[in-house]
Amino acid sequence: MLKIGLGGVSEPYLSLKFKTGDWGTHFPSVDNEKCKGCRDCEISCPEACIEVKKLNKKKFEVTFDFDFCKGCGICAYVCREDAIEMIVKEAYKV
Amino acid sequence: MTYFASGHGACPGCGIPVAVRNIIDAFDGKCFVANSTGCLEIISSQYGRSAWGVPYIHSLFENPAAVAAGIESALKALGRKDEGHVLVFAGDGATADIGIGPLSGMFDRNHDVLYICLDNEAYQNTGNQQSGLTPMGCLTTTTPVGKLMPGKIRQKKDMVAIALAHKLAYVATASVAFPREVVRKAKKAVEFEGAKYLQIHSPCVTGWGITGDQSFKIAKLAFETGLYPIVEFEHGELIRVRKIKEKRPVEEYLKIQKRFRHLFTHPKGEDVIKTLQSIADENIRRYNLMGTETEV
Ligand SMILES: Cc1ncc(C[n+]2csc(CCOP(=O)(O)OP(=O)(O)O)c2C)c(N)n1
Ligand SMILES: [Mg+2]
Repeated sequence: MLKIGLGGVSEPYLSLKFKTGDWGTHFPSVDNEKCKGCRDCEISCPEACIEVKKLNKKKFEVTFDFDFCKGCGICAYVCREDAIEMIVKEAYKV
Repeated sequence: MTYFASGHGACPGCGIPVAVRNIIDAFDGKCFVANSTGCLEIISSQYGRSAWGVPYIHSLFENPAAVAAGIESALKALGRKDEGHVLVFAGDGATADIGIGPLSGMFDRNHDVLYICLDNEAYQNTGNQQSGLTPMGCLTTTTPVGKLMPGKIRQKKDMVAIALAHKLAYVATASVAFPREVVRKAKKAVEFEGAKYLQIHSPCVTGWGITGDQSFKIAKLAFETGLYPIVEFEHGELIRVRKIKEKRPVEEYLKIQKRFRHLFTHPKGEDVIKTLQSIADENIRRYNLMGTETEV
């Protein structure tokens, strides 16, 4: 009888072992005072490495997971409050 | 919690992971994904490096629609349809060129599948070869710019019209630069029984010759010029469009991308730009795109 194997099967989420945080030349820096909590940066991040936490009615805290951030700058572009700035990493300063 | 994990290998600034993550997260991971060979597959499913938290199969380049049809039929036969939606993620090459036969068959048999085309306007995974969805005037490795050729000669294929010709219940376009709208459309699509088509415009940083931080801006410009109309059809009828508040000339979109820059110096460039402008104008007229209403 013909036996059909499963082929190459991978466990889920193994990509998490691969830290892409050192890919980029820039990293984002946020001014939490300006954040109004719209979450545009969170949903637009290709690396799923932004979290917008609500501290109280008016205050928000944006955190980046630098293990994975590739420094693309989409978060800074989409931010309506100009609260995110892209900064060149020390190693890439000329 | 996301069902498409960090650590995948997409280029910085690529919009594909944004669209994919938001869609499968919107379904709370209750979906089965068939994915053709291409950028998404390469960045997320290399052996031992999977980014996926939902059932996922890498088909071949040409047959994700057939594989998805099989999954859907099996779920039906086993009485397990409630376990999730069957989705296809496929590139524009897979969709409009090599996989169009199986896609037409899947549409025709009306499998309960949401087919999502990630349209980065060329075969990007293999290094920027033209596809049927590559726009006119575009430089690719198979439409080189020389003394005679000003990039791709023919127009972008109208895949929306091809999908509509199959009398599907739901056909829409979207852009990675409007992620909330992408989610709304994916959720809307699965309310319809049968085959659905969603085409999402997604800039390619390397293939288009742009920087990662520009990708959303450029995707928005594609829409604001009229070159990439964002439309929504239910049962063949146009029910909604994203309105352009301020129309931009196509030059504004073309000049900031390496793939179109030759049009400003090539002897035939001016004619191509004129034709592209008339395509954009015709889109705006045909879909009545000008207006001020806002999308989600
Ligand atoms: C039958 C076959 N021909 C060619 C290839 C090589 N190949 C792999 S991906 C790809 C291009 C994919 O283009 P597209 O579908 O637009 O997806 P993208 O990578 O642009 O997201 C090609 C030509 C293949 N894998 N199988
Ligand atoms: Mg492509």
